[in-house]
Amino acid sequence: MNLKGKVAVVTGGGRGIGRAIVEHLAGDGATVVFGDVNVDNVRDLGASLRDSGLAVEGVVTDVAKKQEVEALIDGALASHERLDVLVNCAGINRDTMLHKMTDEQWDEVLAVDLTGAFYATRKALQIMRQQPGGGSIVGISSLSWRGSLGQANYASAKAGLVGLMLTTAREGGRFQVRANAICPGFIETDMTRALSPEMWDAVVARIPLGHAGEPADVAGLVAFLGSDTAKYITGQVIEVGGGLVW
Amino acid sequence: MSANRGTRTGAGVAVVTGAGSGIGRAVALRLAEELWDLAIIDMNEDGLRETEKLIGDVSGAKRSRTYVADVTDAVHIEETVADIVAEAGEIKVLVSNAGVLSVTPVLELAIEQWRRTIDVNLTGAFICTRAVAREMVRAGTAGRIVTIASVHSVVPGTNVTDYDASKGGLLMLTRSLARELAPQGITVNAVGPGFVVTNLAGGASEEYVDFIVPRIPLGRAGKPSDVAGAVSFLVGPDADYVTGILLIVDGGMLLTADL
Repeated sequence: MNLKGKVAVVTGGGRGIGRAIVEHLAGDGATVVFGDVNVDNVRDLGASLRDSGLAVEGVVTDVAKKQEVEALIDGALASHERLDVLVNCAGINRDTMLHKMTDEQWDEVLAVDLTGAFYATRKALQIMRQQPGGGSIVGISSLSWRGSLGQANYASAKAGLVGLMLTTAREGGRFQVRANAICPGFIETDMTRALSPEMWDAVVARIPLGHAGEPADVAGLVAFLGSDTAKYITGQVIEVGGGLVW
Repeated sequence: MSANRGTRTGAGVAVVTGAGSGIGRAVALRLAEELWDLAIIDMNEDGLRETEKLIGDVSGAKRSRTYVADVTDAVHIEETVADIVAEAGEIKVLVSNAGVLSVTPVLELAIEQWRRTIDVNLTGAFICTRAVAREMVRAGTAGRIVTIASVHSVVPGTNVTDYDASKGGLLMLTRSLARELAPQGITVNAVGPGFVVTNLAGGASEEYVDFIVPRIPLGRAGKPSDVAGAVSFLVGPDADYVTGILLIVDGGMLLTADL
Protein backbone atom coordinates (compact mmCIF):
# COMPACT_ATOMS: atom_id res chain seq x y z
CA MET A 1 0.00 0.00 0.00
CA ASN A 2 1.11 3.54 -0.65
CA LEU A 3 1.07 5.58 2.55
CA LYS A 4 3.61 8.25 1.55
CA GLY A 5 2.89 11.57 3.17
CA LYS A 6 0.53 10.10 5.76
CA VAL A 7 0.96 10.56 9.49
CA ALA A 8 -0.16 7.64 11.67
CA VAL A 9 -0.48 7.16 15.43
CA VAL A 10 -0.51 3.60 16.77
CA THR A 11 -1.30 2.80 20.41
CA GLY A 12 0.18 -0.37 21.83
CA GLY A 13 2.82 -0.20 19.11
CA GLY A 14 5.69 -1.60 21.12
CA ARG A 15 5.10 -5.34 20.67
CA GLY A 16 3.03 -8.00 18.98
CA ILE A 17 0.38 -6.91 16.51
CA GLY A 18 0.97 -3.22 17.28
CA ARG A 19 4.64 -3.51 16.51
CA ALA A 20 3.93 -5.24 13.20
CA ILE A 21 1.50 -2.42 12.36
CA VAL A 22 4.13 0.23 13.11
CA GLU A 23 6.66 -1.57 10.91
CA HIS A 24 4.24 -2.10 8.04
CA LEU A 25 2.84 1.44 7.96
CA ALA A 26 6.34 2.92 8.14
CA GLY A 27 7.55 0.53 5.46
CA ASP A 28 4.71 1.73 3.23
CA GLY A 29 5.94 5.31 3.61
CA ALA A 30 3.98 6.70 6.57
CA THR A 31 5.44 8.73 9.40
CA VAL A 32 4.48 6.74 12.49
CA VAL A 33 4.28 7.89 16.10
CA PHE A 34 3.55 4.98 18.42
CA GLY A 35 2.66 4.77 22.08
CA ASP A 36 3.43 1.91 24.44
CA VAL A 37 3.40 1.51 28.19
CA ASN A 38 6.71 -0.38 28.21
CA VAL A 39 9.74 1.94 28.28
CA ASP A 40 12.15 -0.66 26.82
CA ASN A 41 9.82 -1.47 23.90
CA VAL A 42 9.47 2.22 23.10
CA ARG A 43 13.20 2.87 23.12
CA ASP A 44 14.27 -0.30 21.32
CA LEU A 45 11.67 -0.34 18.56
CA GLY A 46 11.98 3.35 17.81
CA ALA A 47 15.76 3.11 17.53
CA SER A 48 15.85 -0.04 15.42
CA LEU A 49 13.28 1.26 12.91
CA ARG A 50 14.99 4.62 12.60
CA ASP A 51 18.25 2.75 11.94
CA SER A 52 16.45 1.16 8.99
CA GLY A 53 15.65 4.60 7.67
CA LEU A 54 12.00 4.61 8.67
CA ALA A 55 10.20 7.65 10.09
CA VAL A 56 9.15 6.27 13.48
CA GLU A 57 9.00 7.84 16.94
CA GLY A 58 7.92 6.18 20.17
CA VAL A 59 6.35 7.83 23.22
CA VAL A 60 5.82 6.09 26.54
CA THR A 61 2.03 6.09 26.93
CA ASP A 62 -0.44 4.41 29.27
CA VAL A 63 -3.69 4.52 27.29
CA ALA A 64 -5.73 4.19 30.50
CA LYS A 65 -4.58 7.73 31.33
CA LYS A 66 -6.42 10.34 29.30
CA GLN A 67 -3.68 12.98 29.56
CA GLU A 68 -1.03 10.60 28.22
CA VAL A 69 -3.20 9.56 25.27
CA GLU A 70 -4.00 13.14 24.37
CA ALA A 71 -0.33 14.13 24.73
CA LEU A 72 0.67 11.31 22.34
CA ILE A 73 -1.74 12.53 19.68
CA ASP A 74 -1.22 16.27 20.24
CA GLY A 75 2.53 15.68 20.03
CA ALA A 76 2.20 13.87 16.70
CA LEU A 77 0.09 16.70 15.33
CA ALA A 78 2.51 19.37 16.55
CA SER A 79 5.48 17.62 14.95
CA HIS A 80 3.86 16.64 11.67
CA GLU A 81 0.92 19.03 11.17
CA ARG A 82 -1.56 16.29 10.24
CA LEU A 83 -3.12 13.14 11.59
CA ASP A 84 -4.24 10.77 8.84
CA VAL A 85 -4.46 7.40 10.59
CA LEU A 86 -5.14 6.31 14.19
CA VAL A 87 -4.79 2.65 15.10
CA ASN A 88 -6.22 1.61 18.48
CA CYS A 89 -4.14 -1.46 19.19
CA ALA A 90 -3.24 -1.19 22.88
CA GLY A 91 -4.78 -4.14 24.65
CA ILE A 92 -4.35 -6.44 27.62
CA ASN A 93 -6.20 -9.50 28.86
CA ARG A 94 -6.92 -10.85 32.35
CA ASP A 95 -8.61 -14.17 31.65
CA THR A 96 -10.82 -15.81 34.29
CA MET A 97 -14.16 -17.58 34.19
CA LEU A 98 -16.90 -15.03 34.81
CA HIS A 99 -18.22 -16.43 38.12
CA LYS A 100 -14.72 -15.95 39.58
CA MET A 101 -13.77 -12.74 37.81
CA THR A 102 -12.78 -9.91 40.12
CA ASP A 103 -13.76 -6.29 39.83
CA GLU A 104 -10.10 -5.42 39.20
CA GLN A 105 -9.80 -7.86 36.31
CA TRP A 106 -12.86 -6.31 34.70
CA ASP A 107 -11.83 -2.69 35.35
CA GLU A 108 -8.24 -3.10 34.12
CA VAL A 109 -9.21 -4.66 30.81
CA LEU A 110 -12.02 -2.20 30.12
CA ALA A 111 -9.75 0.72 31.01
CA VAL A 112 -7.03 -0.20 28.52
CA ASP A 113 -8.91 -2.02 25.78
CA LEU A 114 -12.00 0.21 25.51
CA THR A 115 -11.71 3.44 27.48
CA GLY A 116 -8.18 3.96 26.16
CA ALA A 117 -9.54 3.64 22.63
CA PHE A 118 -12.30 6.12 23.52
CA TYR A 119 -9.72 8.70 24.65
CA ALA A 120 -7.65 8.24 21.49
CA THR A 121 -10.59 8.13 19.07
CA ARG A 122 -12.29 11.20 20.51
CA LYS A 123 -9.05 13.17 20.21
CA ALA A 124 -8.34 11.94 16.70
CA LEU A 125 -11.86 12.70 15.51
CA GLN A 126 -11.61 16.25 16.88
CA ILE A 127 -8.52 16.74 14.72
CA MET A 128 -9.58 14.82 11.61
CA ARG A 129 -13.00 16.42 11.25
CA GLN A 130 -11.31 19.78 10.83
CA GLN A 131 -8.65 18.84 8.31
CA PRO A 132 -9.17 18.46 4.56
CA GLY A 133 -9.22 14.85 3.52
CA GLY A 134 -10.54 13.59 6.84
CA GLY A 135 -8.79 10.48 8.08
CA SER A 136 -8.94 6.78 8.90
CA ILE A 137 -9.43 5.28 12.36
CA VAL A 138 -8.97 1.57 12.99
CA GLY A 139 -9.86 -0.40 16.11
CA ILE A 140 -8.17 -3.75 16.66
CA SER A 141 -11.05 -5.76 18.08
CA SER A 142 -11.07 -9.59 18.12
CA LEU A 143 -13.18 -12.56 17.11
CA SER A 144 -13.57 -12.93 20.88
CA TRP A 145 -16.22 -10.19 20.70
CA ARG A 146 -18.76 -12.90 19.97
CA GLY A 147 -18.07 -14.52 23.34
CA SER A 148 -15.00 -16.35 24.54
CA LEU A 149 -14.41 -18.71 27.47
CA GLY A 150 -12.70 -16.97 30.36
CA GLN A 151 -12.81 -13.62 28.56
CA ALA A 152 -15.98 -11.88 29.67
CA ASN A 153 -13.95 -8.71 30.24
CA TYR A 154 -11.94 -8.94 27.01
CA ALA A 155 -14.96 -9.92 24.88
CA SER A 156 -16.99 -7.05 26.33
CA ALA A 157 -14.24 -4.55 25.65
CA LYS A 158 -13.72 -5.85 22.10
CA ALA A 159 -17.47 -5.75 21.42
CA GLY A 160 -17.51 -2.24 22.82
CA LEU A 161 -14.68 -1.28 20.48
CA VAL A 162 -16.84 -2.39 17.53
CA GLY A 163 -19.65 -0.11 18.75
CA LEU A 164 -17.19 2.76 19.17
CA MET A 165 -15.75 2.35 15.65
CA LEU A 166 -19.16 2.06 13.98
CA THR A 167 -20.50 5.11 15.78
CA THR A 168 -17.38 7.04 14.84
CA ALA A 169 -17.97 6.03 11.21
CA ARG A 170 -21.52 7.27 11.37
CA GLU A 171 -20.65 10.60 13.01
CA GLY A 172 -17.45 11.20 11.08
CA GLY A 173 -18.66 10.34 7.60
CA ARG A 174 -19.59 13.79 6.48
CA PHE A 175 -16.09 14.97 7.40
CA GLN A 176 -14.53 12.10 5.40
CA VAL A 177 -13.44 10.45 8.63
CA ARG A 178 -13.68 6.69 8.18
CA ALA A 179 -13.61 4.14 11.01
CA ASN A 180 -13.50 0.35 10.90
CA ALA A 181 -12.91 -2.53 13.30
CA ILE A 182 -10.61 -5.46 12.55
CA CYS A 183 -11.21 -8.85 14.14
CA PRO A 184 -8.02 -10.89 14.18
CA GLY A 185 -8.54 -14.57 14.76
CA PHE A 186 -5.82 -16.64 16.37
CA ILE A 187 -2.55 -14.76 15.94
CA GLU A 188 0.80 -15.86 17.34
CA THR A 189 1.84 -13.22 19.92
CA ASP A 190 2.89 -13.10 23.58
CA MET A 191 -0.82 -13.16 24.44
CA THR A 192 -1.52 -16.45 22.65
CA ARG A 193 1.87 -18.07 23.29
CA ALA A 194 0.73 -18.30 26.92
CA LEU A 195 -1.61 -21.17 25.97
CA SER A 196 -0.62 -24.76 26.66
CA PRO A 197 0.46 -26.80 23.61
CA GLU A 198 -2.73 -28.88 23.88
CA MET A 199 -4.94 -25.79 23.84
CA TRP A 200 -2.90 -24.27 21.00
CA ASP A 201 -3.35 -27.38 18.85
CA ALA A 202 -7.06 -27.51 19.65
CA VAL A 203 -7.52 -23.95 18.42
CA VAL A 204 -5.45 -24.41 15.25
CA ALA A 205 -7.43 -27.54 14.38
CA ARG A 206 -10.48 -25.31 13.92
CA ILE A 207 -8.79 -22.84 11.55
CA PRO A 208 -9.59 -23.54 7.88
CA LEU A 209 -6.17 -22.36 6.64
CA GLY A 210 -4.61 -24.73 9.19
CA HIS A 211 -2.26 -22.42 11.07
CA ALA A 212 -2.20 -19.42 13.39
CA GLY A 213 -1.81 -16.02 11.85
CA GLU A 214 1.15 -13.70 12.22
CA PRO A 215 1.07 -10.09 13.41
CA ALA A 216 2.06 -9.09 9.85
CA ASP A 217 -1.25 -10.52 8.58
CA VAL A 218 -3.18 -8.04 10.70
CA ALA A 219 -0.80 -5.22 9.75
CA GLY A 220 -1.49 -5.78 6.04
CA LEU A 221 -5.20 -5.17 6.57
CA VAL A 222 -4.52 -2.08 8.69
CA ALA A 223 -2.31 -0.63 5.94
CA PHE A 224 -5.09 -1.19 3.41
CA LEU A 225 -7.69 0.54 5.59
CA GLY A 226 -5.33 3.46 6.20
CA SER A 227 -4.71 3.95 2.51
CA ASP A 228 -6.62 5.89 -0.14
CA THR A 229 -7.45 2.59 -1.83
CA ALA A 230 -9.97 2.00 0.95
CA LYS A 231 -11.45 5.49 0.96
CA TYR A 232 -15.02 4.21 0.39
CA ILE A 233 -14.81 1.59 3.18
CA THR A 234 -16.21 2.66 6.54
CA GLY A 235 -18.32 1.22 9.32
CA GLN A 236 -17.06 -2.31 8.73
CA VAL A 237 -16.03 -5.22 10.94
CA ILE A 238 -13.40 -7.16 8.99
CA GLU A 239 -12.07 -10.55 10.04
CA VAL A 240 -8.49 -11.69 9.48
CA GLY A 241 -8.63 -15.20 10.88
CA GLY A 242 -7.64 -17.69 8.22
CA GLY A 243 -11.26 -18.65 7.73
CA LEU A 244 -12.46 -18.23 11.29
CA VAL A 245 -15.19 -15.64 10.94
CA TRP A 246 -17.39 -16.65 13.82
CA MET B 1 4.07 -21.88 8.29
CA SER B 2 2.60 -23.92 5.47
CA ALA B 3 4.16 -24.07 2.03
CA ASN B 4 1.11 -22.31 0.61
CA ARG B 5 1.85 -19.01 2.29
CA GLY B 6 3.86 -16.41 0.53
CA THR B 7 3.75 -13.14 -1.27
CA ARG B 8 2.14 -12.71 -4.60
CA THR B 9 3.25 -10.24 -7.21
CA GLY B 10 1.52 -9.60 -10.49
CA ALA B 11 2.91 -12.69 -12.10
CA GLY B 12 0.17 -14.98 -13.31
CA VAL B 13 -3.25 -14.97 -14.90
CA ALA B 14 -6.30 -13.25 -13.43
CA VAL B 15 -9.70 -14.24 -14.85
CA VAL B 16 -12.51 -11.67 -14.57
CA THR B 17 -16.10 -12.40 -15.60
CA GLY B 18 -18.48 -9.68 -16.68
CA ALA B 19 -15.43 -7.63 -17.62
CA GLY B 20 -17.17 -5.91 -20.50
CA SER B 21 -18.51 -3.09 -18.37
CA GLY B 22 -18.93 -1.55 -14.94
CA ILE B 23 -17.23 -3.14 -11.95
CA GLY B 24 -15.79 -6.01 -14.02
CA ARG B 25 -14.05 -3.57 -16.32
CA ALA B 26 -12.71 -1.50 -13.41
CA VAL B 27 -11.36 -4.65 -11.76
CA ALA B 28 -9.67 -5.79 -14.97
CA LEU B 29 -8.04 -2.36 -15.40
CA ARG B 30 -6.81 -2.26 -11.81
CA LEU B 31 -5.33 -5.75 -12.02
CA ALA B 32 -3.68 -4.88 -15.33
CA GLU B 33 -2.05 -1.85 -13.67
CA GLU B 34 -0.75 -4.27 -11.04
CA LEU B 35 0.84 -6.36 -13.79
CA TRP B 36 -1.53 -9.31 -13.82
CA ASP B 37 -2.17 -10.94 -17.19
CA LEU B 38 -5.92 -10.71 -17.77
CA ALA B 39 -8.33 -13.27 -19.21
CA ILE B 40 -11.56 -11.32 -19.53
CA ILE B 41 -14.92 -13.00 -20.05
CA ASP B 42 -18.29 -11.47 -21.01
CA MET B 43 -21.28 -12.21 -23.23
CA ASN B 44 -20.92 -8.78 -24.79
CA GLU B 45 -18.11 -8.86 -27.34
CA ASP B 46 -18.13 -5.10 -27.97
CA GLY B 47 -17.77 -4.42 -24.27
CA LEU B 48 -14.91 -6.90 -24.04
CA ARG B 49 -13.07 -5.27 -26.93
CA GLU B 50 -13.41 -1.89 -25.28
CA THR B 51 -12.06 -3.25 -22.00
CA GLU B 52 -9.18 -4.85 -23.87
CA LYS B 53 -8.34 -1.52 -25.51
CA LEU B 54 -8.45 0.29 -22.15
CA ILE B 55 -6.16 -2.33 -20.63
CA GLY B 56 -3.69 -1.71 -23.44
CA ASP B 57 -3.90 2.03 -22.74
CA VAL B 58 -3.15 1.73 -19.00
CA SER B 59 -0.60 -1.02 -19.09
CA GLY B 60 1.09 -0.06 -22.32
CA ALA B 61 1.35 -3.68 -23.33
CA LYS B 62 -0.80 -6.54 -24.57
CA ARG B 63 -1.89 -7.83 -21.23
CA SER B 64 -5.29 -9.35 -21.90
CA ARG B 65 -7.06 -12.11 -23.76
CA THR B 66 -10.80 -11.97 -24.44
CA TYR B 67 -13.28 -14.84 -24.22
CA VAL B 68 -16.93 -14.43 -25.21
CA ALA B 69 -18.95 -16.74 -22.97
CA ASP B 70 -22.14 -17.02 -20.91
CA VAL B 71 -21.41 -17.89 -17.27
CA THR B 72 -24.59 -19.98 -17.11
CA ASP B 73 -23.20 -22.39 -19.75
CA ALA B 74 -21.25 -24.88 -17.66
CA VAL B 75 -19.78 -26.82 -20.59
CA HIS B 76 -18.58 -23.71 -22.39
CA ILE B 77 -17.13 -22.19 -19.22
CA GLU B 78 -15.14 -25.35 -18.54
CA GLU B 79 -13.83 -25.27 -22.12
CA THR B 80 -12.98 -21.58 -21.71
CA VAL B 81 -10.98 -22.25 -18.54
CA ALA B 82 -9.05 -24.99 -20.34
CA ASP B 83 -8.38 -22.56 -23.24
CA ILE B 84 -7.14 -19.89 -20.81
CA VAL B 85 -4.69 -22.30 -19.19
CA ALA B 86 -3.45 -23.48 -22.58
CA GLU B 87 -3.09 -19.95 -24.00
CA ALA B 88 -2.14 -17.83 -20.98
CA GLY B 89 -0.80 -20.12 -18.29
CA GLU B 90 -1.46 -20.74 -14.61
CA ILE B 91 -4.66 -19.16 -13.28
CA LYS B 92 -3.89 -17.52 -9.94
CA VAL B 93 -6.95 -15.29 -9.57
CA LEU B 94 -10.65 -15.47 -10.41
CA VAL B 95 -12.96 -12.51 -9.95
CA SER B 96 -16.50 -13.84 -10.37
CA ASN B 97 -18.41 -10.65 -11.13
CA ALA B 98 -20.98 -11.28 -13.90
CA GLY B 99 -24.43 -10.30 -12.66
CA VAL B 100 -27.84 -8.95 -13.62
CA LEU B 101 -30.40 -6.80 -11.84
CA SER B 102 -33.95 -5.78 -12.60
CA VAL B 103 -36.40 -3.98 -10.35
CA THR B 104 -39.81 -5.60 -9.80
CA PRO B 105 -42.10 -5.74 -6.74
CA VAL B 106 -42.08 -9.31 -5.47
CA LEU B 107 -45.80 -9.96 -5.97
CA GLU B 108 -45.36 -9.15 -9.68
CA LEU B 109 -42.07 -11.01 -10.04
CA ALA B 110 -42.43 -13.65 -12.78
CA ILE B 111 -40.86 -17.04 -12.31
CA GLU B 112 -38.85 -16.60 -15.52
CA GLN B 113 -37.16 -13.46 -14.19
CA TRP B 114 -36.50 -15.13 -10.81
CA ARG B 115 -34.88 -18.10 -12.52
CA ARG B 116 -32.80 -15.89 -14.81
CA THR B 117 -31.44 -13.80 -11.93
CA ILE B 118 -30.55 -16.86 -9.83
CA ASP B 119 -29.06 -18.54 -12.88
CA VAL B 120 -26.66 -15.71 -13.73
CA ASN B 121 -25.87 -14.28 -10.29
CA LEU B 122 -25.63 -17.49 -8.27
CA THR B 123 -25.42 -20.53 -10.52
CA GLY B 124 -23.09 -18.68 -12.90
CA ALA B 125 -20.81 -17.94 -9.97
CA PHE B 126 -20.91 -21.60 -8.92
CA ILE B 127 -20.05 -22.66 -12.47
CA CYS B 128 -17.10 -20.26 -12.76
CA THR B 129 -15.71 -20.82 -9.27
CA ARG B 130 -16.00 -24.59 -9.54
CA ALA B 131 -14.24 -24.63 -12.91
CA VAL B 132 -11.36 -22.44 -11.76
CA ALA B 133 -11.08 -24.14 -8.36
CA ARG B 134 -10.79 -27.52 -10.08
CA GLU B 135 -7.96 -26.14 -12.20
CA MET B 136 -6.21 -24.52 -9.19
CA VAL B 137 -6.35 -27.79 -7.26
CA ARG B 138 -5.16 -29.79 -10.28
CA ALA B 139 -2.22 -27.40 -10.76
CA GLY B 140 -1.45 -27.08 -7.04
CA THR B 141 -2.01 -23.32 -7.18
CA ALA B 142 -2.63 -21.53 -3.85
CA GLY B 143 -4.84 -19.06 -5.70
CA ARG B 144 -7.31 -16.30 -4.89
CA ILE B 145 -11.02 -16.24 -5.69
CA VAL B 146 -13.13 -13.12 -5.19
CA THR B 147 -16.89 -13.00 -5.77
CA ILE B 148 -18.70 -9.72 -6.31
CA ALA B 149 -21.65 -9.95 -3.93
CA SER B 150 -23.49 -6.88 -2.61
CA VAL B 151 -24.69 -5.13 0.53
CA HIS B 152 -27.87 -6.95 -0.44
CA SER B 153 -26.21 -10.17 0.54
CA VAL B 154 -27.11 -9.16 4.10
CA VAL B 155 -29.71 -6.36 3.91
CA PRO B 156 -32.68 -6.36 1.52
CA GLY B 157 -33.12 -3.68 -1.13
CA THR B 158 -36.39 -2.41 -2.56
CA ASN B 159 -38.24 -4.39 -5.22
CA VAL B 160 -35.19 -6.59 -5.90
CA THR B 161 -36.17 -9.81 -4.15
CA ASP B 162 -34.58 -12.08 -6.77
CA TYR B 163 -31.35 -10.06 -6.68
CA ASP B 164 -31.30 -10.07 -2.84
CA ALA B 165 -31.77 -13.84 -2.75
CA SER B 166 -29.09 -14.42 -5.39
CA LYS B 167 -26.57 -12.25 -3.53
CA GLY B 168 -27.39 -13.88 -0.19
CA GLY B 169 -26.80 -17.25 -1.77
CA LEU B 170 -23.58 -15.97 -3.34
CA LEU B 171 -22.27 -15.01 0.12
CA MET B 172 -22.81 -18.51 1.45
CA LEU B 173 -21.34 -20.03 -1.73
CA THR B 174 -18.26 -17.90 -1.05
CA ARG B 175 -18.02 -18.93 2.60
CA SER B 176 -18.54 -22.59 1.78
CA LEU B 177 -15.87 -22.48 -0.93
CA ALA B 178 -13.51 -20.77 1.51
CA ARG B 179 -13.94 -23.60 3.96
CA GLU B 180 -13.57 -26.41 1.42
CA LEU B 181 -10.62 -24.94 -0.47
CA ALA B 182 -8.65 -23.75 2.57
CA PRO B 183 -6.62 -26.97 2.82
CA GLN B 184 -5.25 -26.21 -0.68
CA GLY B 185 -4.25 -22.70 0.46
CA ILE B 186 -6.85 -21.11 -1.81
CA THR B 187 -8.57 -18.07 -0.27
CA VAL B 188 -12.14 -17.16 -1.26
CA ASN B 189 -13.74 -13.85 -0.27
CA ALA B 190 -16.70 -11.71 -1.29
CA VAL B 191 -16.73 -7.98 -1.94
CA GLY B 192 -20.05 -6.25 -1.22
CA PRO B 193 -20.52 -3.01 -3.14
CA GLY B 194 -23.11 -0.55 -1.86
CA PHE B 195 -24.55 1.99 -4.26
CA VAL B 196 -22.15 2.11 -7.20
CA VAL B 197 -23.00 3.96 -10.40
CA THR B 198 -22.80 1.61 -13.39
CA ASN B 199 -25.10 0.53 -16.19
CA LEU B 200 -26.52 -2.33 -14.13
CA ALA B 201 -30.29 -2.32 -14.65
CA GLY B 202 -29.89 0.60 -17.02
CA GLY B 203 -28.49 2.82 -14.31
CA ALA B 204 -30.25 4.29 -11.30
CA SER B 205 -33.00 6.90 -11.68
CA GLU B 206 -32.32 10.46 -10.66
CA GLU B 207 -34.96 10.12 -7.95
CA TYR B 208 -33.17 7.14 -6.46
CA VAL B 209 -29.80 8.90 -6.56
CA ASP B 210 -31.34 11.94 -4.79
CA PHE B 211 -32.88 9.58 -2.22
CA ILE B 212 -29.85 7.42 -1.48
CA VAL B 213 -26.78 9.68 -1.59
CA PRO B 214 -27.80 11.81 1.43
CA ARG B 215 -28.14 8.53 3.36
CA ILE B 216 -24.52 7.57 2.69
CA PRO B 217 -22.20 8.83 5.48
CA LEU B 218 -19.35 9.56 3.08
CA GLY B 219 -21.75 11.65 1.01
CA ARG B 220 -21.22 10.17 -2.44
CA ALA B 221 -22.05 7.19 -4.59
CA GLY B 222 -19.39 4.56 -4.99
CA LYS B 223 -17.28 4.23 -8.09
CA PRO B 224 -16.29 0.99 -9.79
CA SER B 225 -12.68 1.89 -8.92
CA ASP B 226 -13.58 1.79 -5.19
CA VAL B 227 -14.67 -1.82 -5.61
CA ALA B 228 -11.61 -2.61 -7.72
CA GLY B 229 -9.39 -1.39 -4.88
CA ALA B 230 -10.96 -3.88 -2.48
CA VAL B 231 -10.45 -6.69 -4.99
CA SER B 232 -6.83 -5.60 -5.40
CA PHE B 233 -6.27 -5.96 -1.65
CA LEU B 234 -7.90 -9.40 -1.49
CA VAL B 235 -5.78 -10.83 -4.32
CA GLY B 236 -2.58 -9.23 -3.09
CA PRO B 237 0.20 -10.19 -0.66
CA ASP B 238 -1.35 -8.40 2.33
CA ALA B 239 -4.42 -10.68 2.37
CA ASP B 240 -2.77 -14.10 2.79
CA TYR B 241 -4.67 -14.81 6.00
CA VAL B 242 -8.04 -13.40 4.92
CA THR B 243 -10.62 -15.92 3.74
CA GLY B 244 -14.36 -16.41 3.99
CA ILE B 245 -15.15 -12.73 4.56
CA LEU B 246 -17.60 -10.24 3.06
CA LEU B 247 -15.73 -6.96 2.52
CA ILE B 248 -18.38 -4.29 2.14
CA VAL B 249 -17.51 -1.15 0.15
CA ASP B 250 -20.47 1.16 0.72
CA GLY B 251 -19.34 4.50 2.12
CA GLY B 252 -21.11 3.59 5.37
CA MET B 253 -24.54 3.19 3.77
CA LEU B 254 -25.52 0.18 5.88
CA LEU B 255 -24.85 2.14 9.08
CA THR B 256 -27.87 4.31 8.38
CA ALA B 257 -29.95 1.21 7.48
CA ASP B 258 -32.44 3.41 5.74
CA LEU B 259 -32.37 1.96 2.26
